[in-house]
Amino acid sequence: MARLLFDDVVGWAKDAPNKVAVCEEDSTSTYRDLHRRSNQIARLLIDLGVGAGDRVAIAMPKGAGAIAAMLAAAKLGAPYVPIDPDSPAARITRILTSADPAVVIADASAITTVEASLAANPNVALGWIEGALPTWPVEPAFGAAEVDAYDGEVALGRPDITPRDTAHILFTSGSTGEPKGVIITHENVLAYVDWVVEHFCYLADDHISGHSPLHFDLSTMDIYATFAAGATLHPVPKNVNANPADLIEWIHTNQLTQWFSVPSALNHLTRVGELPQEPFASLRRLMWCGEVLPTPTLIALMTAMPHVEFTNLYGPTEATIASSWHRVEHKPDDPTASIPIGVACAGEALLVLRDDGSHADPGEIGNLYIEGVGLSPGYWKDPTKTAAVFRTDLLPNRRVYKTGDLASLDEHNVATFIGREDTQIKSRGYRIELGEIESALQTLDELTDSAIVAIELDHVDGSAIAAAYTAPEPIRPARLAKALGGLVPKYMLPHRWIQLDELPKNVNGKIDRPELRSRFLQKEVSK
Amino acid sequence: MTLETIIEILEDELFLLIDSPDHDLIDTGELDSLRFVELLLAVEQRTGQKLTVGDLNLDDLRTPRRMTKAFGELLASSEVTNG
Repeated sequence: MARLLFDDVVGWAKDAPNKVAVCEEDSTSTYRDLHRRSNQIARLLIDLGVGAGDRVAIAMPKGAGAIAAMLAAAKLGAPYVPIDPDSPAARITRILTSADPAVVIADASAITTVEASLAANPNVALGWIEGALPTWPVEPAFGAAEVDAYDGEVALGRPDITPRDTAHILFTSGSTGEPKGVIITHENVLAYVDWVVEHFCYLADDHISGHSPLHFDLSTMDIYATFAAGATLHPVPKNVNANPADLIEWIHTNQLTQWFSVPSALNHLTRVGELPQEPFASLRRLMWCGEVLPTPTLIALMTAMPHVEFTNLYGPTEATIASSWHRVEHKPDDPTASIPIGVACAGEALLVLRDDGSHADPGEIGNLYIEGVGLSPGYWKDPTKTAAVFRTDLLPNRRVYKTGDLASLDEHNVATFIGREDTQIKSRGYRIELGEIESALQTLDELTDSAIVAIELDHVDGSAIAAAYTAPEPIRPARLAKALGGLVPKYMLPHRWIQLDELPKNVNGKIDRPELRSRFLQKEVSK
Repeated sequence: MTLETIIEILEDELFLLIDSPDHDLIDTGELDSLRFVELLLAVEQRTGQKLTVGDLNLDDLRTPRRMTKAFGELLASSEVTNG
């Protein structure tokens, strides 16, 4: 019987029913609880007519309730669509219109946004699985009380699907502003999860962080690798996440053994000046993915936590969580050194190709492609976009995904990320990679955070380099330019500088570059 | 247009920290096309004079000291627009 996403929970519910699967601030859920709860929800979904292939949208924060809803959908072979409850109503509406789900499972956190979206999508039913029912113009198809009261036979048959069928659809930002849905199969997730469990030695006594929100692909590693190992997931509470001192205390108190997040969360930890020496005695491994972790931050973390293993993971949503890994064995001496994205995970391959499809030589920068078990079948309802980046015409009998990233491979096939193809600009004939300037800027001690974006200005051709930074004290840009000029060629010095209280971040905790660009452009207009 | 004013424009409006009046901005790539345009705009704004830059040689703008001389000569021969 081919394994599907929910099978690990079912297995542990039988073999270790009282083992805590999800530990939250005020409650814990065992594997038996998750299995039972997801069956109860599944029964109510069946009553609504939901079956294999139907979409189930879930607009709830990460926690045992949302995870039970995800498992319920999976048990019916219904792809689930995680929706950020904090997203603007307009964005949720666009996602619902595209995903066309049979039902939205929501809780109070999504009350205002989901209400507006349901008004625009009247055919979508509402399911309510936690807390009291709100007074809404939309009548919920079922409420938490019905889930709790469902006392009938909760055993379910297996859905008539295969591991190659869709497990979930993750909507990410599209360059046009229209969210695009990345289809991820059961097999995509489980192939990666199995590698994680074996490679990083996930064990049943592990306590694993759940930092990323559900609509972000990293969360699928948190959840399903935890379940594959029979370990305990600790979703990071929103209020804790906001304050570095609280987050340090929370990691310590929960005795986490594995931490996985975007780099900004780690930056957050080191930039408060409060990171004590060896703060987390239980922590065995710290992993990051999604962006470049500034090397000075890595040095600070490795100095404070000499007993922890540090691993950089790399991969786009389209290739399911991560496709390559690099363990940082020794603390870097040079804060400007770049950390490789490493070698391919099992079943994956990283290819660096020239524009004509030929392989780049070692050290040569080219377009980074991914091949292997993690590759998504494509974008939801968008064959044109799918064909544009999931290429079958480039190499004979091979399907590769064009990441849009530039990279180089060394003679041992270790990859180094150079930057985004679209963050490379040309100025006076110089090819400039914005990531290189950003990495250099991040080494300046007087700054707490910084980012580089390119902006187009009316009165010149080409792009201008714009630097945003945060610092405890006001700092004159010319002084930063002088310091930066010691790290990068002078032609890379930013044309615009702005000191902010905080850099804008998107829902995934990454720097919100479109928002940053618009702030620079607003400043131009007001000149 | 004094040397001090030129350095002030370069530092405060073009964000370039000038080491000395003979700091070479061309060889280093610091004076790119965008900054060149903005330098002219800043000089025009401060003096209220429209510059005619047709005869301006890039070499004349290599350093703050040379800029001072070049702009001084240019301003002396340019029309006054706001004066």
